[in-house]
Amino acid sequence: MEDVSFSLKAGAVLTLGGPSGVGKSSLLRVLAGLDMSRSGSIHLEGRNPGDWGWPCYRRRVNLLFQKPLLLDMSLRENLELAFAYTSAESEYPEARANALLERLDLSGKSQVEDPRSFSVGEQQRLCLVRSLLNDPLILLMDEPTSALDPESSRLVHELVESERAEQGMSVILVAHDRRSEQEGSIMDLTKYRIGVNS
Amino acid sequence: MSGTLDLSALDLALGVSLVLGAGLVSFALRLGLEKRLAIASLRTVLQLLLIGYLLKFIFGLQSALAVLPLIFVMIFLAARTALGRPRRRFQGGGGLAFLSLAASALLTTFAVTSLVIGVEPWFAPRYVIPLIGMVLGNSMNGISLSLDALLEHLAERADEVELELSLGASAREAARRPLQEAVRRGMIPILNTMMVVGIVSLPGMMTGQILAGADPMLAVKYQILIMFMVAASTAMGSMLMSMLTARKLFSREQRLLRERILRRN
Repeated sequence: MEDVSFSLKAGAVLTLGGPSGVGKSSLLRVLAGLDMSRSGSIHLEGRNPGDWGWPCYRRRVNLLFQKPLLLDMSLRENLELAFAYTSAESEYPEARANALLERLDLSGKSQVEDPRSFSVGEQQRLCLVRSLLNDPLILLMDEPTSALDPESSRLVHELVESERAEQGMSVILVAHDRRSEQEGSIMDLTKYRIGVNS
Repeated sequence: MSGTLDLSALDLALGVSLVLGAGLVSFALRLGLEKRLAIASLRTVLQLLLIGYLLKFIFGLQSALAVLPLIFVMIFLAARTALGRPRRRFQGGGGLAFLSLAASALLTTFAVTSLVIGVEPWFAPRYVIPLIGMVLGNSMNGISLSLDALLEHLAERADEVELELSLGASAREAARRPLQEAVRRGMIPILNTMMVVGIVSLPGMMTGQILAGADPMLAVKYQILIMFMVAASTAMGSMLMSMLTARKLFSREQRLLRERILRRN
């Protein structure tokens, strides 16, 4: 991809569009700090990721993966994961976690030992809770609801929307499906050539 | 060591009939192993005779300049073998395997020969070469298994590693689980061996010493020392190899370089 340049205001939504293979997910992985672009730079609140420290940057620009990703541990341990690293600036926010679980209709399951036995929809909702606990400045979502049932999809979109309104979190999302797009700008990537470093 | 009965060439020739017996079994059951059995037998004889003459020559020289190059070659071959087995590979693995094996095997072997046994001179080939050979053989397996487990984890479960990174883990933190698994895998064979040593089988070296006429208790004492050397060296080698490999597979930006892990052709 070449000559991609954009800026995003706090609380804004940007949807990356274009046919599959055009580089939407690749761009998202670069923004998430999991792949490098050959050239160019990223600035978050005026500082580049190196200045933030990559681990801190990744917390602040948090990627919600397309496929729900939970480790082989209890639900609680999965949520606490991010607070075990040295980049954590705070303790595990118990009250906020419970509030988020409740909003995503998961509060009855908070003691579960093996959340990987959940339905895909429930797993992805849990992953969203985990992402939001990091208080990201930007939430990156790679077709987060593509495999979800309509109810899970609705819950996810409603929560993201309210977090955006209340916390000023920005959202960059990849969507094939126009129905799942939210308000905000749409950037069609068809006109850029792909060239993510491998 | 006066108790050993010498074996004449004729005695060894009689030993060949044992292999012929195995060949007959293969023939009768149509296993098709006769040719491979013949080649393997020939290689056994040639390789062992060769190392026998080489050892005799080196023992005669009594010089560090003869012992050290041999050790170097042994480590080199062990590193090559260790890298040949894992299902995946990465650029630069050979150097790391050599380094890990050299550090772990040299440190444990010379610590034991110098500080514990008190060998004089420090390079005395009669002690150093067999001991380092045993240590290397086991460390090599440990390194091989660890590397296999590590590369397999980082390739097959790259998404889990990247999840941890995206949640704010540093490269070191994200590599912790794969590293633990790798070192654990590398240690399994030696731990299993230590659990049953002397019960299921007598170790080769102890058998050799007893056959050579040594007091069984002396042989046992050496064997205990060797098991501990091997355990230490395997743990050190596996850990070193895994840590050096992990360093190569994460970038300065603490990103997993999954593209560096290649499938073996």
